[in-house]
Amino acid sequence: MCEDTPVVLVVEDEADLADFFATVLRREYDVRVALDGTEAVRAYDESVDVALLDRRMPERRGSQVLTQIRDAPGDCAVAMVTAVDPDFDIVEMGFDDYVRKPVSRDELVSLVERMVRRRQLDDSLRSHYRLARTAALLEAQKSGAELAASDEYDRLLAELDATEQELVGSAELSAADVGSLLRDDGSPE
Amino acid sequence: MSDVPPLGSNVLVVESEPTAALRYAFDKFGETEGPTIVVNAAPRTESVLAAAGEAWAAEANHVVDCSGETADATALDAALTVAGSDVPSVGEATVRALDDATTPVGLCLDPVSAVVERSSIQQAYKLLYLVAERVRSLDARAFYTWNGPIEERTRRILARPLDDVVQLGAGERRATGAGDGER
Repeated sequence: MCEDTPVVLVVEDEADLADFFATVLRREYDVRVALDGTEAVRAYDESVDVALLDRRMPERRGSQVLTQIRDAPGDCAVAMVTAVDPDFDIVEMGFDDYVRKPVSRDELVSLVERMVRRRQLDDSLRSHYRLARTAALLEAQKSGAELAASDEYDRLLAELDATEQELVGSAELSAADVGSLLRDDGSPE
Repeated sequence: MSDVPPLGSNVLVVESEPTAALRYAFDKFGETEGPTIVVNAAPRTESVLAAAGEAWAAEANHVVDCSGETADATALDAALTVAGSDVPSVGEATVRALDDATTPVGLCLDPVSAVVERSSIQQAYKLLYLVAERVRSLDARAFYTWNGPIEERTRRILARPLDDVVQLGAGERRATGAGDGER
């Protein structure tokens, strides 16, 4: 696996199911498996891109693991993969997706693809914003002639264009994915 | 004869009077056929609410209320959806309303200034980017209103994912830096 391979943390107390998830996902992702909440917290770090969390587990429930993940550095996308029917208690949980078991191979692949894509788009959107903000600052301060003569400004615009290319496909996001992408990321202005 | 090119599909309308930008958007929608969606993003004073309500009642086909207030559907001759006032809810409800429309639509997100007040310029930027892309892909048309004074830097940042900026009152009209209205 290369350094850019997305990291997926599978948190599932049924060993057979965890094994199935890992086998399916290992073809495309760097997969870590945790069989309970304590292991999950230990296995989680900033490099994790996507976490798949079971809700009902011994020791720590999935919702508790989710809280700890959200409190830790990093901002991975989290999907609850569970047999538990959603109830009002999910309102406060702050996950990105909620999938009912049983989950087929195709559903699993599609779920993780969607979440990885959403994260990549979020990173690109943030970069795009930072570049746009810098360009706006220069455009508000400098004259047209000064901007035209500036190699730095040229490079900035080229970077903006390049980031724009990374955002291709954002118009195909579902409404729910747009909502997830817009969740407060806590990054500084 | 005017040589001003037609406006792009996503336009930021800046105006200090609370309902003027909304009226401007409705005037533009009146030039074309198709349903109109208004996303109300701000809690409003009673007088503004009355004026805006009149406009919605007359023109809007679908109001998405993200104001955080209790929506009064009685004054509306339009479908009403109530959604949360946080930015993700505004984005999700807006995109859903666009996707649910069966023909190319006019969208008015009114006002973006309230979105920025409630969150951050970065969040508002991401919202505008995602909604604007959806508007383009659906061959729709959208106006994003700004009520009150706006810093030059903020105006330039928010204009970047859009196609045009219209400053009402000053007679100013300019294309944005990102694509110069040709995205």
